[in-house]
Amino acid sequence: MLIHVRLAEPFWRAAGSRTLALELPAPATIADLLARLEADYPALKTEIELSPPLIFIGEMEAERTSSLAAGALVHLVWPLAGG
Amino acid sequence: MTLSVTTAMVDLSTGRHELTTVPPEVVHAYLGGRGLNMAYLYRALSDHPEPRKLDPLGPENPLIVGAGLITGTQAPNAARFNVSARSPESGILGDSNCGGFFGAAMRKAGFDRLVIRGRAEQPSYLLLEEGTLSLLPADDLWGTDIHAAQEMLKARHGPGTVAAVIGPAGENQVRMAGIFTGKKNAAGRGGMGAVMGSKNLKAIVARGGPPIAIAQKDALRAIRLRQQEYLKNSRVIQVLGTAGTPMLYEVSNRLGAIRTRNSQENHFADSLNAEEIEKFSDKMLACTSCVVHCRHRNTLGGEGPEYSTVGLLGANLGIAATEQVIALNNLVNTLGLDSSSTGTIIGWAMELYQRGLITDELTGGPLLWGDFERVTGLIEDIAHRRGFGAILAESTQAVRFFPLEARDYLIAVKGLPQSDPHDVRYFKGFALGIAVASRGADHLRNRPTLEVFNLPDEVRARIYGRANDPDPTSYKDKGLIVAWSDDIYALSDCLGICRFVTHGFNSPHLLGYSHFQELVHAATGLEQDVDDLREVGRRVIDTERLINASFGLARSDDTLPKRYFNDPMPDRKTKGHRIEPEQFQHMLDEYYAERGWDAEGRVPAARQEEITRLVSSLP
Ligand code: SF4
Repeated sequence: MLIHVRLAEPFWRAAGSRTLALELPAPATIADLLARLEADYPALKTEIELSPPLIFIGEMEAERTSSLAAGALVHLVWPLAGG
Repeated sequence: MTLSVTTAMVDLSTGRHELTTVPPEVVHAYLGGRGLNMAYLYRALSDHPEPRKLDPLGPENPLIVGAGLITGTQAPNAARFNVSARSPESGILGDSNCGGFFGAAMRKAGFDRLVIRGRAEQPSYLLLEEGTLSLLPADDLWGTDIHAAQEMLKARHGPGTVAAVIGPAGENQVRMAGIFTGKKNAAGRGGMGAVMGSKNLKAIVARGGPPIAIAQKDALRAIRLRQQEYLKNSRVIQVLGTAGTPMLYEVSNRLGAIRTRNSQENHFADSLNAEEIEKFSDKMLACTSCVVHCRHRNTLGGEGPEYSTVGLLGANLGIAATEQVIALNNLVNTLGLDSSSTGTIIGWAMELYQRGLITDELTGGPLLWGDFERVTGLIEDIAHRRGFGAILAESTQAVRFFPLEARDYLIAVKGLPQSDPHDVRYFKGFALGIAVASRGADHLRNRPTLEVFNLPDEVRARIYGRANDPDPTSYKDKGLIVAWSDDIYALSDCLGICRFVTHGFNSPHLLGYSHFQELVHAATGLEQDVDDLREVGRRVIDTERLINASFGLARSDDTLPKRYFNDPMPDRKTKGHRIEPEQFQHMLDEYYAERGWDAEGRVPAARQEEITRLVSSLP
């Protein structure tokens, strides 16, 4: 199934793109998606380890165990809230 | 080297000035920047028979311009100075911190601080040059915008000239006018530009002078290199240097914590994400001795925008087009307005219009969300006090022109519009922070930004000094973390160091007390241990509390906009969150206890005596 990924600062720089579209075998979870992203983009793996992201599926916050539906839009956002 | 901190006492009414030296005991107690400014402000209020009657726009309101203790040295990001006075916007303590190059130039020119009183007979500016101070006519500068004034002064005084100027907004004593030291760097908060305008003072110009005296040059250089390396390894520093503060927009927006349409909504368009702003950026700029370079130079002729401006002139007004938001950013900066207050006040007026509480009769025409042309015209009118703009130029005090219900929709605390675009109903520590911040609703005084990270308990305990509740949405232990943030941010403001490299602001891997200690020692020779430095921060917060008490502020003023108590956040992860009033009072109790204040939020008598004794030795 097709999963869309939106990478916020600083993750997109490691992947070289703000948005990605990935084919994952169903059923899949966020953990599966992260494993695939980390395999495809080694620099992103380092970035995620350095700065663990908040993960959203659409507007809902997700856990590593959250299931993905075909066509889902997953956001990886760096938790920062200064000013 | 014997440390000597100087203050020029300037009387614009007579044109005279006297150069004084700050007593060493007071330097130890307050160091410089915000701290020493507060000592001078409290001293001025102590001399006044009725501080509550001190007219913020009258000649007796002192305008205090003070560089940080180590501003202009090689210390990392030591660029800042503070401008303080009674605020014409809030009526309470006014204090604004500014970067750029002016703080360093002022110190090089031979002045650590100016205390400016009186009112010049004609438009004037102060020239600080090689240890001398002159008051010069500014008739030809009066009426010019921020950029034009700076260019004219540079052309007149030559290379190396740095000017802190006001624009039309300051001249017209608009209550949210700032003082600008570049195209965007501003002492923006609290209407310090209006105070300057009320004194007929267009600019303070600094130039020339020998290098700033350093106690141990080689040691300071070595510390700088070490701390620079440490900072550059911080991920947040690296990302700030490429994306700038607009990167914060997407995070808050995704959470559902972006103030949108005067906080009726909590998320907005993706067109204001950092990547869109970046398309209009051709360079990252820096302040004196900065290792970060966080400021965009934009291709529309200005600098910025910062996250606050993106949120408050964008989402808060319903304006989604990136280019329009950048144009508004450049406009407020050119006219000399604080973007945070301007965006908050226009958003407030838009909601009042939406609700029919004000009509075309007062506003002079429709005031609709997203109307870029109307907002552009309104900003011009505010700066020039024309039409409905003259009413909004009163900032929060415009409430007297509106029906009583209007105050229910005002996003302000203690008369100061909220500075940043983060809706604080979700992170309870953020809410407590803006409620107790000494200058009113402001995130830079004490925001416990580490709340957003999921830090392990032991790390949190190490940072804040004891175990504390890791849940950012609980009300527990928020007094502890806000008081902790108060103290360290106050200290970095005394030193002149930027918030973006201060421990606890966006990262636990920035400069903390021990870093500050070695910098202070090498730069000035002062022997202060970490506990002394902690105490400086605490003393500054206590002094600020005493200043506000002299204006009649009490526990009931430590509160939040009504909407934050009453209206749950409507969408996304933050949905349903609001501030529960009883729990809020418990947070206040805990905060006061952490600060050592009594249940009414009063500073203990012994501390008050200490502060009174210290400031009484100032001229
Ligand atoms: S981080 Fe930004 S605001 Fe701070 S000193 Fe550097 S350029 Fe100036």
